Amino acid sequence: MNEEHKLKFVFTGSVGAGKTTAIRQISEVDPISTEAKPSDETIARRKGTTTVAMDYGQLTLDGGQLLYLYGTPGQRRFDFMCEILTKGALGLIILVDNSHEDPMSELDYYLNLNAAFLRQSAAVIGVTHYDEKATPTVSDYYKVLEERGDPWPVMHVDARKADDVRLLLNTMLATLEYV
Amino acid sequence: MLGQLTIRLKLQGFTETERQKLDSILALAELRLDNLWQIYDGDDADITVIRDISLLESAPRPCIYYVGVDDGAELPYENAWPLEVDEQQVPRLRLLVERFNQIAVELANAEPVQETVAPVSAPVVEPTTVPEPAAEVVEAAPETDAAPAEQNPYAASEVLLDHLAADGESHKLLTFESGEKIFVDGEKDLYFSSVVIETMADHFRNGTPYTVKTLQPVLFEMQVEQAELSAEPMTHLRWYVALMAPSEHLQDELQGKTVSLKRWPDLGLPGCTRLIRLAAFMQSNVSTIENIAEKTNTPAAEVCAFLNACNIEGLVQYSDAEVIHEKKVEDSFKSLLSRISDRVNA
Repeated sequence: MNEEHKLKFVFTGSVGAGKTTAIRQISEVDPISTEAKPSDETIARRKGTTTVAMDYGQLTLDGGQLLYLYGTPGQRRFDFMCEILTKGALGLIILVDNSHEDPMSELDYYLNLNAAFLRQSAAVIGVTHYDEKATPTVSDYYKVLEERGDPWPVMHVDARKADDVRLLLNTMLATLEYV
Repeated sequence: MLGQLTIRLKLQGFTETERQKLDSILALAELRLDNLWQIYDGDDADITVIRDISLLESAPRPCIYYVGVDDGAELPYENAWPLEVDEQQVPRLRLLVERFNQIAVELANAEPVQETVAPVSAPVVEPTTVPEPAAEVVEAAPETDAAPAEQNPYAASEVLLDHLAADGESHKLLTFESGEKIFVDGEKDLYFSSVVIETMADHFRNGTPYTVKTLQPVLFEMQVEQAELSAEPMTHLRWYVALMAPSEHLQDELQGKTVSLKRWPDLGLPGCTRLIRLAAFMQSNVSTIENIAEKTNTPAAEVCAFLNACNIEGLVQYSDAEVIHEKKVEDSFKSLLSRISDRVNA
């Protein structure tokens, strides 16, 4: 099936933000991950492997229709994949690693990267690794979004917890309905 | 094993030379001490060190006092420990290491200096009669009927929320009758709990009595580390307390008023999952409680509870008129969202 006609949500964010982990929590099939040893030394120190093309998981709706869950690669050199994967997607879930040295610029980066998509669809922002670093707070993220004029919801999530991933998806559904 | 903490020592009655001697011994002992002990001149030191035992009676607690090695180290005073020194007023390294490590453990297990008892909803909080320099006087909460309802429609559980407020300095331990403990770090606006806060919903709902103990920062850290509790943002706890507190009165008090949210709440907050659609609606529409309940298929009582919690976060705003932005969503798309929701939450 053409990417444009698939029913799908896309998870994006920087390396280590938890995209692969999040999809793994909720997918009904073992996610297919195209992982490799990172070429970037700084990334290699954080993770043994990283996604180089995409992650892929799925959920079957009643009637047999498939809902695809895609994860974009975290390394910047694969950013071109975002445009391909978001084509026709219902919504974008942006995961931001709060322990990153500048999480706000990461958020800014992914909102800008997907600006064209977000003009016609919705985003939800999940802040991960907040147990490692408590700041910036959710309020700080909202300030950035307000300055940009973006209405998207932000929440703390632990990508290792299925309930938290469900929270992201439920929020996405409410956003698609009301916002 | 405790993680390494910094314990600050305020010296009293020391000459500059004696201060330098103690500082040198501390440097030598550092590798063998379980915690980092530092001489500190601020008023908020953790322990006072008394050079002259005659000052002991009036010294702040907890304290350490010098005694001669040959005088024998006795422990006649509560929250005061002897430190053996030679005739040159130099602490013996081995004895200092043993004593300081022992003190750290005792401090971690020590009873706090003050205890007050407060029921959640109608507390009478009285400070103990024993004056302690480090003790905090907990003020009685304002009577909830003292202010006109129009000015303060969100008064429920005000006292508990006062205890959970970020005040930039205090460290407290709240203990409910059934044993659940909440450590409150008012300085960093964090809390630590022995149980997940959702299990305390009935306490917040019913106003279960609890005790409040003020802890010195170093004791606070030690007890938290010893219990292996992890930090959580205090905003989560305040949110949940307000969400669970009685709030039905808001339906009358906000009758006819139109409200909306300045922005989304943190939907990762406890108890928020079922309120997502409500949050999404209120974030983009201005309406009355009755209409919000109707449009989102949510019981009015839940709308009130949600408003009460959002108010704690400063998210509620009032407007003069209702503004409904009906998003044009086709029925087939709504149906698709519903099917996805069913699958995601199956």
